[in-house]
Amino acid sequence: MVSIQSIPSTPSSLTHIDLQWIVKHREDRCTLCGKCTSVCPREAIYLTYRRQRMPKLDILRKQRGSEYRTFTGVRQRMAKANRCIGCGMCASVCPNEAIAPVPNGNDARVRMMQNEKGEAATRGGRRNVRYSLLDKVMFNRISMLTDPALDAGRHEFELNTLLGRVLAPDEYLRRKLAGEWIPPVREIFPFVIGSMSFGALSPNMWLGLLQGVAYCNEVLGIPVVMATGEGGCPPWVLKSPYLKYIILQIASGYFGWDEIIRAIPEMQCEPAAIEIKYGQGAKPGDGGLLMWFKVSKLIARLRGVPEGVDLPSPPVHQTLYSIEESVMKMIQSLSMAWGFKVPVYPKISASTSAKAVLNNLVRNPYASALLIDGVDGGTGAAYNVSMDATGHPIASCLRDCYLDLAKQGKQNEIPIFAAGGVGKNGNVTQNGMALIMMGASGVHIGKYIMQSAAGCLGSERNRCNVCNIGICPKGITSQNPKLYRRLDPDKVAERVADTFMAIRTEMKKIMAPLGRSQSLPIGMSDAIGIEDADAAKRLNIKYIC
Amino acid sequence: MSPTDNKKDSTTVKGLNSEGQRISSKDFEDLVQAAAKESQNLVLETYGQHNVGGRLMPASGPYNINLTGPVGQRLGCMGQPGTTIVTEGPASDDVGYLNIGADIIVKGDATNGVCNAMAQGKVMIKGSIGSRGLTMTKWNPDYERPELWVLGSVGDTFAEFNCGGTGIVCGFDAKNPDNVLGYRPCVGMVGGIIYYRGKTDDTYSRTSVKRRAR
Amino acid sequence: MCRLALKTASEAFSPYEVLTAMEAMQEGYDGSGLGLLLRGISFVDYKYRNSDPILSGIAHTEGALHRLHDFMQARGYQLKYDHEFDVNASLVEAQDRHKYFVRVYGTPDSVKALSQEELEAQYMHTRLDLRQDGLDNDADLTVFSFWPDVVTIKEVGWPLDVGNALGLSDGRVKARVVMAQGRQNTNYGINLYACHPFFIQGIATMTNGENTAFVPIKEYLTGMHHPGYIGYQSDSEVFAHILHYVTKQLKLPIEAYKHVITPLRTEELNVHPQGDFLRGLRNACRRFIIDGPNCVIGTMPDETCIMVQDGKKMRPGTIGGKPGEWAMASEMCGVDAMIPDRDRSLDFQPMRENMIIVSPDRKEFKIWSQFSPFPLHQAA
Repeated sequence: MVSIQSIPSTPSSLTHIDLQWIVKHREDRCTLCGKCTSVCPREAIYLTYRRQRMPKLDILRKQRGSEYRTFTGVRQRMAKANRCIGCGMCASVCPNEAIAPVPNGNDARVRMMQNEKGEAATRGGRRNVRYSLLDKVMFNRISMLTDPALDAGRHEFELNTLLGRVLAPDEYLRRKLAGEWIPPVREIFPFVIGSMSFGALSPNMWLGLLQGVAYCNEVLGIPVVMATGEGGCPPWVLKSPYLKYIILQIASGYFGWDEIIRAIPEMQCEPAAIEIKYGQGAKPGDGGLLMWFKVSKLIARLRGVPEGVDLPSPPVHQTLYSIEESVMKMIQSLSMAWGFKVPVYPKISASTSAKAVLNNLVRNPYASALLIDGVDGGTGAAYNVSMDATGHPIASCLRDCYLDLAKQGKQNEIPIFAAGGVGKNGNVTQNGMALIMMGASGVHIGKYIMQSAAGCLGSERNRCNVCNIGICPKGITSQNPKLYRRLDPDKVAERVADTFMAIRTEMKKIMAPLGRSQSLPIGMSDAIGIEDADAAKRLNIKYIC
Repeated sequence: MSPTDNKKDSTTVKGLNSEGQRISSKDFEDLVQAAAKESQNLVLETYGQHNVGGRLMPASGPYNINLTGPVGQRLGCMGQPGTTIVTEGPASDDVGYLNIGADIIVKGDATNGVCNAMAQGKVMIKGSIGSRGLTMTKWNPDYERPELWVLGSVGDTFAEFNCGGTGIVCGFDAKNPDNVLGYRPCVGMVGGIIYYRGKTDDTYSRTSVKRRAR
Repeated sequence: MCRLALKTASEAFSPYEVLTAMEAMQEGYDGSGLGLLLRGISFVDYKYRNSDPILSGIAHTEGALHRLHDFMQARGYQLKYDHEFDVNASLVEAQDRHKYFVRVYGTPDSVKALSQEELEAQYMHTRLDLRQDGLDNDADLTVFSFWPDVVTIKEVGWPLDVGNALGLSDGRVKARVVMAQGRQNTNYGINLYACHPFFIQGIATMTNGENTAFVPIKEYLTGMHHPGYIGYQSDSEVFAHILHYVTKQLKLPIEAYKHVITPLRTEELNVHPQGDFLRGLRNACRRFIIDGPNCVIGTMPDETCIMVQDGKKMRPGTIGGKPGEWAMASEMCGVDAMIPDRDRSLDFQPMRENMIIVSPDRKEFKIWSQFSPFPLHQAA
């Protein structure tokens, strides 16, 4: 029997087979350049000499001996701050394809040990659930003979959607004749770049997105808009003509809003809209925490806070103590700030109480839309338990809200925008159009844009997901100049243009067979079906098999 | 031609229409903005209208605004530098909300949320205030710190998430003399200083702030 | 959030005054309802004796009104005065308001021999039976209160419009205590029974805010099988029932209500002079702990008025006034509009530990703190 002391074993000890990602190294190909170990964002691997004994037995000579062979191998570190995240940067720099991380197929034991020092586990990124109901929605009301399908390639398509409060026809006529105020309405592309804050994204990423969006608008004629996220907006953008492509977000922390209000007298144009964030799908009811190392000098100045100090923001501050109060206080005040010429709408997490919020907005003349963010939404930082277990999927929440509006005859008056995992497995247009036909006026995309436009390494198998600690190996979510210089804003802008051009084409490819081209088919739920009977019943769409 | 040429000495705007009915905050705001073009001194006879006194652009100022009548919520919301607002009586919730430079003087009590999300300006309350005062404030070092002066005491949850504002609680004729700072002040406060005079219940957040001697 | 306003004065006044003060707090409610509860009644056209019970409600059809008449007659209640509102139907959205009834009845001989408790039970059962009768007949009858010296008016619409619709400015009905709520609808249907104030055996409350602990509290109240603990078309009705339970069933002083709905923490109770008793009370009444955010205004049969906050002090509320005349409102401008000539240095906003009590003599209001002991006869 081996004594306990000789086995390295404590309640906290781990070996490489316990981790979520196991690094596979091929010694026969390794050229010992060391690029993998130096690029690894977690310093998860190190090169080390190992010795292998090679026993020699010479039977005729009756001699025994040992020779040794030394070789170099890669070892994985077990400490929490150094565990492999599977990002694969090692594979991308290896000249010989000698190294790559592989997901642990055997229930990584490390999951039970993420609470070292009593701290609950946090991460960035996504929910890590590959299943997406939206992927299963099919478009099947195909126009064949009674109303021939259109030609996606050559016909004209009206793809845009409306963001803003649309009056009922009789009210619109009455006000127009009487010269009364008509609420502002914007015509935008139905796929919106969702809020990712200026503190969460690197300056290069933000600049790349903005350039791409401007290009889509001014050269391609695709009226894409992007939201700023919590954290304000750089002053030069506020005073530039590009502000019209931007939705300014105001959130529970009010970060950056002193700068925005100061800039109002010098603005050259109005922002596209104002988004009031009450919650986000990934961590509903939870607040934000920007760790001190991400509160750089620039971020601190923009946010109006001290540099280098942990920055908590409440989920929603208690000065907004009810829906109606918030709606009055914020929607009315922010509408007034721009002379009632800019649409103002709230963003909430999908939840069973979303309908109550919507019903309140319907009664408020300044509310311009409602954005509902479902549980599959991404985030820069959240507690694992919040991301994994709290929240509500977007599809049924959106559908309930839309049907409720339709019952009151108000579905044209308040647009509902949906978000939360749109495109998480790559099917961005299909997901978006499925939601639109269930009643959304448009969708917001976040994770998909990061992956498509900037090469984010994350996947629904918990790959990478370290956005929260500022070591993003692609330089997308880090404030460290040495990292974000890896990301070229011009290339990001090119990819943004690529992304939206492809979405535009796919939208036509979906709409054309359905015989739709004159307007975005919002609420055309007879065009979709799903192979899941329970889901079909819940969502009030067709069951097909 | 200076901004003050061709302007009246003072203009009055009424919060009740000719039939004695309350005018909506939106319409009242239109009247105030129009009056601000006529004169830099405004007398506003409010009847509970909200968001009064903000968004008067510095370039055509300075503005002096006097309020008589019941004051609604968010007095001085998004106030700009160069605006001075004085009320003859008490005010409702959220005085100085998102204020970035107006000076506001309330000759009476104010209720909850005073100086919520304020970034610059001086707010003075000749009385006591309710809960959640000086919360979510911001301070950009290129500008002066936002300040809240309270003659009496403050209510619960004072200075929560205060990011740089200065609070002065005088404890004079305090509504709550046994606890001039209220229950659990300074939770999540990351910058700024609070000066106070009088007794407290010692429930201030130890992880956020440190108490220094006089 | 709804807007609440209460005025209490030694001299009776017209409820229309409170409705005009509500106007100052406008843009906080959305016209989904107005509820008014009056105490200390005087009618211009009738010399009212304040021990006679008054029945308040709405008959939606003529048939319902007849049935009501027969119902009360059968129980021996003689109609002494039928107040006719000067109704302007064009100002009311609903089409089925045949009559808003406020009827004074004489106590039948049969009940004169009953004890106070039995009498109160009978009044309550009469109201509940009538309410059920209305529900059994296609909801053609709505009953708000049946009690001496209490009048209740509820209607859907904007407060001032409702006041004008019922001609309340003519001053033909006056009261010493007026509770008014301008409703902002949230999760529940627009239903007359959902309008505050809620009434049970002479006790009435109105509340600001959402009651996040509604379902567990409702289930606990319902499980007591008390005939009056029904309704709950609004989550705020539980506040009235808890106040009833604490004062009438447990027979504790009114300060105990605050301890029941927002008990102090264990560390605070450990140093409290009545800590031992309160700890036990907290455990026994654990199901009644509210989670706000709420501000509750209540009135009692003897015209005592109270105001309390939930434990996090999340809804606004102010009291102000002068000896003989006090006003409570959600917003400062509401208090300002009700009693503009008061001594403003007396204005007070209760915090998490306070209960404001205005006793019937109205000389002043008391600011009571949970940290202070309260008069407890036994078990303290």
